[in-house]
Amino acid sequence: MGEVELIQRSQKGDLEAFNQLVEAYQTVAYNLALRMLGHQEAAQDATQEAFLAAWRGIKGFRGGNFRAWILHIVANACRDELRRLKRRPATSLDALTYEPTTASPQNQLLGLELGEHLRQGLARLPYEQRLAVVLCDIQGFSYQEIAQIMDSSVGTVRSRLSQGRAQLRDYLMERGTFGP
Amino acid sequence: MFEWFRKGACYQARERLSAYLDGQLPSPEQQELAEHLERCEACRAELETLRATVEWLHRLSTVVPPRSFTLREIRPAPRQPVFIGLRVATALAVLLLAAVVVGDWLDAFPQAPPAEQPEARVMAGETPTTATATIVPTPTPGPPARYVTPKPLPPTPEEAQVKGLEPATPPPMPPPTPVPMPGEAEPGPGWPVRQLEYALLGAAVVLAGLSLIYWRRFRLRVGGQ
Repeated sequence: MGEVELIQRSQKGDLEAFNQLVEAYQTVAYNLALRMLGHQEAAQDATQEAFLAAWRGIKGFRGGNFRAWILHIVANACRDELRRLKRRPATSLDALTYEPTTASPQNQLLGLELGEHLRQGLARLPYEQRLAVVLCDIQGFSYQEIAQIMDSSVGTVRSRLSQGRAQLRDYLMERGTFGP
Repeated sequence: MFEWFRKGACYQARERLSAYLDGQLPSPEQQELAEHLERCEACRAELETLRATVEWLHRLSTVVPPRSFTLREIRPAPRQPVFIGLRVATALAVLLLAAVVVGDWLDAFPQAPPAEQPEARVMAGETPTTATATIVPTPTPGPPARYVTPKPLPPTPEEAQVKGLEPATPPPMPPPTPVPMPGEAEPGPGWPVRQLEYALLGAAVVLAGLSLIYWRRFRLRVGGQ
């Protein structure tokens, strides 16, 4: 069954069809939440909230890029989750580091120290810049799709990406990541 | 002067390095920046560190979600008799309230008869049409009570001449009778409409709140696995 048909059936209240869409997009959604929040449990909560919100609002989907629509909801859920975490005094955002569940050859190649620096550097970026960097440089979306997800123009995406990359590079330079 | 121009060109170049890396600049700008990078070692170094940062980000692996995020439907529990009773009671309270309010508005409820005024019996046979009730304003620091004072109008000089009466000799006034303020118990067997309305409104609000709580507990829910 194609994506369009699954969407149409979901809009008619077919939860089974919607769950097929969830299975198709849950990895990209969860990874976006994880990179934005830096914490497994918070990322799981945000992803679940996002799919619930998508189910409740799927009748309002008017066609177009469904992945961008879903990820736009995930990004909003991440923003809400960050606000919630900031309001909770017992939780420090600096403490929200996570360990990847799988140690892939790529992770080993990258090095744990560099990986940790990247995660910490990302966590220090302003929300919009972090979202642009994660979507472009980690998830590999085009500028056009990022603009759809962020509900902004391509020029704004270019600007946020430039600022985010530069800030992250400066953070890594401060930690001597680029060597002498 | 030349240094100032060079710094300005470097600033503009560094603003565009990110888009240059992604090939997102228009062709003339892309060419112009490439030429600048050939001449400027500092900007080339900036480009290389930026490129390395992006490549490291590319290498961050995709994490497998620790669980599925598919949704499941939770069927509502069978409607509880308490819930049905609450809904019926709420509806009854609202209907009664509406009926009482409408009845009050249409003056359908019997009102308490007015308190018997002293002038009705004291002035029998003394031209009751000439008597009128005057509300005496209460002095500010005084007691919060109003007084109804029967005050017979004195005959005018013309009337006195016709009737042979002495003008302006009012009969002795009875002592003022206090009239209860609103909110105090009124004499007579009237319907306590206001109190009834408040009681029904309170009951309707409480019952609606309880119904809402029950409804939220037993409604159809959709949740994560």
